Amino acid sequence: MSQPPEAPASHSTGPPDRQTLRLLERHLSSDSLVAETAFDPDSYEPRLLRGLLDAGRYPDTATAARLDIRWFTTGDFSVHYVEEHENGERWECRWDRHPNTHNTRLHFHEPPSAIKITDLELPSLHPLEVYSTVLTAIEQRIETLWSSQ
Amino acid sequence: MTEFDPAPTSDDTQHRWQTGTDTFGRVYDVVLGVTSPTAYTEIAELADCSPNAAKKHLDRLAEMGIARADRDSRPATYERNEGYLEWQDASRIATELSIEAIIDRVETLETQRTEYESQFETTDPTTVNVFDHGDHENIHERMIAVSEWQGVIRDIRLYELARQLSQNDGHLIPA
Repeated sequence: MSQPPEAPASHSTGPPDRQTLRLLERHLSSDSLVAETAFDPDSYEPRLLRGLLDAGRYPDTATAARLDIRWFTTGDFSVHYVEEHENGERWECRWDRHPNTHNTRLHFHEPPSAIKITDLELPSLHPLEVYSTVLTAIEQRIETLWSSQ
Repeated sequence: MTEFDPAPTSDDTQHRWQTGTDTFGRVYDVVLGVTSPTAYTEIAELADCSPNAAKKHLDRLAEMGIARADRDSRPATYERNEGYLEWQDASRIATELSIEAIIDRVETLETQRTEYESQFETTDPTTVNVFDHGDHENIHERMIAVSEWQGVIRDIRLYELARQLSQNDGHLIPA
């Protein structure tokens, strides 16, 4: 598979993967959950891909939601989901893949604060498969928000 | 509130990204995310098509320069063609930005590079050890900083290529 080896060859994740960020931007911008996408700092130097989620899909108590995606040439990544709530609280979590000293390379920062970390398994590390998993999880989160109204 | 599942299995067989694309589009998108030689059978699985269809489209993408093929391998393997895609990026920059804008951007990036060099006290980002440093957020911050530094170095090279293309009217080699 296109999954890079588990042992890191170097001590870092390499530069941002421009091609994967562009690929993900193309899919994100046509996703029904997403209102707007942007590259940071800009499309000529893509380092971070931002997806602004459609607030109309959320109950009124959620004022904004976004997805920040970093993808590195080593196949490592960080996908950060943040919800802002009316009462000023944040609800956030992060799908991460990078070497660290206490969890598996692939791990998950649990909501609501993204502080507690658990090991994570995914069926595939292909960017589009990771994207599908994350967006499906967010869709389920939105359903939970509605049903807890 | 039910517990959040970070890796839900989708009920429908079609994965979210596959909606509205034909077989060629799916094979194209899959190979753009493939960075090491991968069997066409596996690409077929990811693209949700038959191995024969995947191979046909992958061979076409290889002819176009977008994919790299290793047909001697059994089964044949494919991955995206990094060099071609870099040239395409540079070519787009050369078309869309003026030479002055490109030079401006390189100057800004060179300043950023100098800042990273003094922050990490070296000129080579690959020598910085990112992952042995304390708590997770600390690792994360360093990881992003070193990655962006490497991105800065790469982008300077990319703009250099774009400048050459621009000066040679889109050609790599002067007429």
